[in-house]
Amino acid sequence: MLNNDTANLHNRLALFRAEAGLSRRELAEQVGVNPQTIGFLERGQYGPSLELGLRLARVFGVPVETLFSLEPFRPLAASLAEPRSMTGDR
Amino acid sequence: MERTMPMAPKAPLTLSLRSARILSIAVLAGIGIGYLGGAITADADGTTPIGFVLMRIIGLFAAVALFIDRRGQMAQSSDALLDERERQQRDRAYVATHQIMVLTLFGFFIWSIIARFIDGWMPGQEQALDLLSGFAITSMALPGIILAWREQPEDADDAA
Repeated sequence: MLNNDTANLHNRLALFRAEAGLSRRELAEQVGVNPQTIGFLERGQYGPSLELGLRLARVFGVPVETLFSLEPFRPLAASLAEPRSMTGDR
Repeated sequence: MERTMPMAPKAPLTLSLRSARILSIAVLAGIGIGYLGGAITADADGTTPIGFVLMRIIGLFAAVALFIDRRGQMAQSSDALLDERERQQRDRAYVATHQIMVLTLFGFFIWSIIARFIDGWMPGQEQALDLLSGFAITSMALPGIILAWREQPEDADDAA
């Protein structure tokens, strides 16, 4: 079930959390929520308030639109493949 | 300002999701059948058949267990103890509880009008008090029941 009307809200929270080497509990402690809420956010089952979105972005040191978007993010594999094909063209 | 993680209320009982859902069915069946069925089939002297009394006891114990379970405690928690997602879940559970209970009351109200014209069943004073008890117990347990049925199973990362 989707909460807080998240059908059109996409995020890269799991990717940034893994990159930062943080567990859900550690991230939750930094932004002041319970660890289950991080899981709900990552699975797209809950849309955060503006305040929580900004706090999450601050943890990773990125603008909030880097973490959350109304458009689907490009798959990581596609983003990684692009520079490689350019290299291959040379 | 540094935010602190909300301290989830310490519940005297932590049931698994499956147990909470089974108990919630026991509450609704026990209270529904025990009180409503007991009121309808009560003897002329107001005595309730023993089977319905047993159903009431099962429903009552299940309701108490759900009330002291962490879901029931979450439904009773103040804002300071919950994060924004939990507050939203709690508030939605209360809205749903309110709607269900108002619809139930309205259903009884409509029946009380219809019953006059068709000479249908109406509770006596004792049965009305029984029904009121069942209504109160259901109201107490319903937010926790709704939270149990809306809860998502935890994934492996949640436990980490």
